[in-house]
Amino acid sequence: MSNSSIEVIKLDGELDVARREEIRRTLSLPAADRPVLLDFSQVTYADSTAVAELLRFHSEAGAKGRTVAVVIGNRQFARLLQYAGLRDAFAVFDDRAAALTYLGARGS
Amino acid sequence: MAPSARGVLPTASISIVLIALFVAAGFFTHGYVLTAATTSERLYTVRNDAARALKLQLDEETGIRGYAATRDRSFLDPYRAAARGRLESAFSRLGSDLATSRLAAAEPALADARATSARWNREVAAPTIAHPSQGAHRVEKRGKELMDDFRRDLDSIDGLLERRESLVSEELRAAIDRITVLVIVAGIVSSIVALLYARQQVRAAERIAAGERQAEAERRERALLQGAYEAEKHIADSLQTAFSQRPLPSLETLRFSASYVPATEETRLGGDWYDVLALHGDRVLFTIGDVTGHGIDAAVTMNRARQSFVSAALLDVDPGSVLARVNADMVAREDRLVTAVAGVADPATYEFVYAIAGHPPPVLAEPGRPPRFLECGSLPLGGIPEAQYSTRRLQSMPGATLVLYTDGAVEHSRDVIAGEALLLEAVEHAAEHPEVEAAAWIHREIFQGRSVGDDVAILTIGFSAEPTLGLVVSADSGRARLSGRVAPAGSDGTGDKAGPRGFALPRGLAS
Repeated sequence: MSNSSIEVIKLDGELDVARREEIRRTLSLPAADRPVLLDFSQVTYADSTAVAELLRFHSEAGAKGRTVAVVIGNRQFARLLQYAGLRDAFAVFDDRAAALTYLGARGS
Repeated sequence: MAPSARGVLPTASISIVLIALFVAAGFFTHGYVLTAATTSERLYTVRNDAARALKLQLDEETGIRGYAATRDRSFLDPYRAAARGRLESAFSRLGSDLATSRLAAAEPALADARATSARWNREVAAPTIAHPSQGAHRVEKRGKELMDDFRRDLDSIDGLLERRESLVSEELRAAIDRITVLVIVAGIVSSIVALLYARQQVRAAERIAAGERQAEAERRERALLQGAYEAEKHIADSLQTAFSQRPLPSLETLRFSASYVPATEETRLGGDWYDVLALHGDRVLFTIGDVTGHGIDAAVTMNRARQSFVSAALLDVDPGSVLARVNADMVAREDRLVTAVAGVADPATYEFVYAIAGHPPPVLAEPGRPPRFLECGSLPLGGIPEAQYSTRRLQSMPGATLVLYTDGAVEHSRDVIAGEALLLEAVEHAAEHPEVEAAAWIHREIFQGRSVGDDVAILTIGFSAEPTLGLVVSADSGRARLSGRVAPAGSDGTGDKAGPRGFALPRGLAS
């Protein structure tokens, strides 16, 4: 499994309404047809802004049949995704290694 | 006063340096003038003593000359031993004068003069006194030669003195010139410093004036902002009143309590709401929801979502269908995201039927069991048009209470796990006190009077613990219906997407 065959999108810190534009820009589906890793391991807080953008990302990725894995390091964010039903929509992992393994297995 | 203090420091140090320069210049000038004066005085003494020596020598010469001409011994008075001693002492004084005046160059001339005087004494004066007859010729010839020599020696001393004097006066003039230049320079520098200082003072004054003007402008702006804030608060208050929660129904078989505390940080019109609408046969439709963000836009979206809920419930009261309709409506309007719970509570069957859209899970408190979170996990409203919301059915019991809340109730510390634990604890305590208003109790226990950063809405719906006589029949019939309905769905009754059928049209929705 090689990491270069995976698109990584990383967001850190507090994802709230103040960063809406930045989150929207960052969470855009990469053009290359490769599995995507959303690395939120360094996110410390998220509100429904992040959920809305993830929702949009999810439908976009779903429409193009792309494999997406999400790494969540914060319990509050994990809860929010759980409330939103996105925990089942995405493959969600606690750590990056597990997510990469998943993507590697799916991508090959 | 910081700006002027910044300016004063260099000005003060420049002034101190200038004063030090002046003092040093004064000191050196004074010393130099003093030295020059002492030197002049000494030179004057030298000249005086030289003149005295010349006069004494001339007196002697005149005496000898007179004696040679007249043979009158009274002419020899100046030439007596005492007189000669005076000339000797005059020479000695002149010698020491030259030494103290550092006129060593004149010492050979003095020695010469002394020698000439002694020679004159030996070769002219003494033979003339001894042999006056040849005195006149000797005095005229040899005496004149020697006296000329003597004069020349004293003249050369005098010349040296003059040179020295002119040197001293030149140095004095140069010193005066230097002092003059120094004074002029110091004057110019002082003027520049004074000008700079004055400019600094003027600028400091200007800065202070500008600061005051700015402070005044800021005061005015604050007053304007305060006015705008008051106006917005007024609008917010009006809207809050207009959008305020509808009164809770009053029923024998169901107990309601609600608490709504908007964010206290600033004037924030909440995006949270709850509603309880009475349906047919003591059943109620309840909703709780939260619009993304704050402010008037959020409040408007919230109001629209509430209206949409009512409209959707009029068509079909099944909670999953209600959420799906509201979702379609909000997606079409490209509204903000909304999280919500919609449900029906039926006191006849002790059944809760509900559906969740991205909202934190309700808490169920049943007698004899610790409170627990219900299952959740579905998309918020207004995200994607094809979102599905499953209706979940929950068979409960008399005395059970369902607690619905918005995320402010668990996310107050940003540690949602701790927040959830605190909520469960508060619900448990509230359940132990059926006489209290549960929602207010829970809010109080969670926040302990702390200010709230987010809107917090809490709604509780509880079945009466003891069924009243009038309800026994309907309760029994409810159970009868229940047994037929719950069995296929399982004990927790989740996953029944078909939704309850046979709901009558809602009654009293407009109330």
